[in-house]
Amino acid sequence: MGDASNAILRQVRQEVPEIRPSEAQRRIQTGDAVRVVDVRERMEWNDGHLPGAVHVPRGFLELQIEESIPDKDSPVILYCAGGVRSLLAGATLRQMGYTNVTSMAGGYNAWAASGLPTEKPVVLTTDQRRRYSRHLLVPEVGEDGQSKLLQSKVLLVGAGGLGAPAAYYLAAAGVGTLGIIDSDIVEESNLQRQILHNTKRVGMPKVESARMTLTELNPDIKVVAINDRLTKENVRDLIWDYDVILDGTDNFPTRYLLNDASILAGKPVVHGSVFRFEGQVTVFKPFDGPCYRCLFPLPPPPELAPNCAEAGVLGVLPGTIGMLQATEVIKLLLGIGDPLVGRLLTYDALTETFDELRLSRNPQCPACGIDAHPEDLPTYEEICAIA
Amino acid sequence: MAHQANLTPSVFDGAVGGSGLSAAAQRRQEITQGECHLSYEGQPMSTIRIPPVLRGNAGGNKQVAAQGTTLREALADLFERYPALQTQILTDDGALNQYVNVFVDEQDIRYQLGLETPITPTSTIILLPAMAGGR
Repeated sequence: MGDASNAILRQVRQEVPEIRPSEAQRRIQTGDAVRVVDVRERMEWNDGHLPGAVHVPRGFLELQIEESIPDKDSPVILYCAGGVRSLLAGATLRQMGYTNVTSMAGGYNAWAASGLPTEKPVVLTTDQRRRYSRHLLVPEVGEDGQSKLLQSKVLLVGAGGLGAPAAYYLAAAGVGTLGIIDSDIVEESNLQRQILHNTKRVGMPKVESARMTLTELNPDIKVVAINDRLTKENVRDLIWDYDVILDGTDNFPTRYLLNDASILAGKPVVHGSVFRFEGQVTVFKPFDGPCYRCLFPLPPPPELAPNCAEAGVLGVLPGTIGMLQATEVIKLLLGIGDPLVGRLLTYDALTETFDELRLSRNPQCPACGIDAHPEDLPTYEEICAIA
Repeated sequence: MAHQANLTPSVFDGAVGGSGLSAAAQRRQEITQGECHLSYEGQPMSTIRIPPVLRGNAGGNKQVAAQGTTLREALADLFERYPALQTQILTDDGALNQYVNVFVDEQDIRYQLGLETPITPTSTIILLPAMAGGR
């Protein structure tokens, strides 16, 4: 480094305190609010980084840091490879108003040499970086989030009005494994709303049609087509492998069955239902919020619960509701935002209005309450012989 | 089961209603009733939203105005005009059917005061039966 560089560094060291890797680790472990920022280039980050660090290359620091760390009083530890670039980045953050900035002396090299834990990110391929570029630009998703989506598994119960649009967007978003269970074949009357299928595929199993459409859209993902009904016998094995379940069924027995099994397996269910011009969406996350039986302890009599085949539905409506479900699935997978846990969103297409209702857990719920036994509850096959 | 977080006492277990109210709930009730008392001088009406499956028995109406200072009174007013709704919403014993949820101003009345939940003239009552459709 030349004289001018040394002079700048001397000045910056007066402004930005430095800590050793061992002290950095102590602060990370003891202070929840500490934010660790890696200011190196992408290639360096891809070779390994500190666990929990966010990546903001120094060249984008002024443009991106406020999105990653909006609170300027947050304690921030910066690091680079050897401790020089992070010092300079520290000076920039101070100019931007960050009040509690330190630089890790010796950088990542010293950290790794001390035997402290490192993490190697899943690196997206060039094709993936192109395909998901709009996600990569969103700080809440970014490369880490996209990698998480690619490693995620979502089970869609039903490849119909709700399942079809939801699966389409989840496939586009790069959810790595989409399981789809449905035992129906494509019928002409499905095509008014079930956008995964087409006229040529009438008579084909829906899950096969879904697999073809989804893998044509995104060959990057795996589609597990399960041409079957969800039953007491298969439900537990089926949902076990998945991170989130999307309920797009059209009957009460399956909804109760799925509810009970998901509680046993601890899997969140993103619920949607539609009727003519109106729909409902919520997230049943076991023990964080109410379950389906908390909300509806008993199914209604058949005359109060016709399905789409009996009552009709505006073709666009399950698209709207399915999109909301897909959004909730992605939020759950990424751990961002406020999922609809304990809240039910109702939608009226004719008035174009949403209402939000507050849901509560029922302490006496037979599926998730204090003395619950979700393993042996009735699913009302005989009562709901309407599907 | 061991998971007891986020549980809300409800009228299912008799934990809410009558003398079982918490101090906070009693206070809330007093405040709400006080507002009602003042507001009802001119006999204003609350709004009951009718779900699609019940509209056939409510003259095809999407929403209906109803009088009453409690949910029970507002529903009685509704049933007077549309008697066929009563058996769909209430049991023979006059309790709320378990397959219908009722929300007053976004809150589930099973976790408020049940049918005795106070209604104000600006209240919106939403009847919410389960929907089956998804395909």
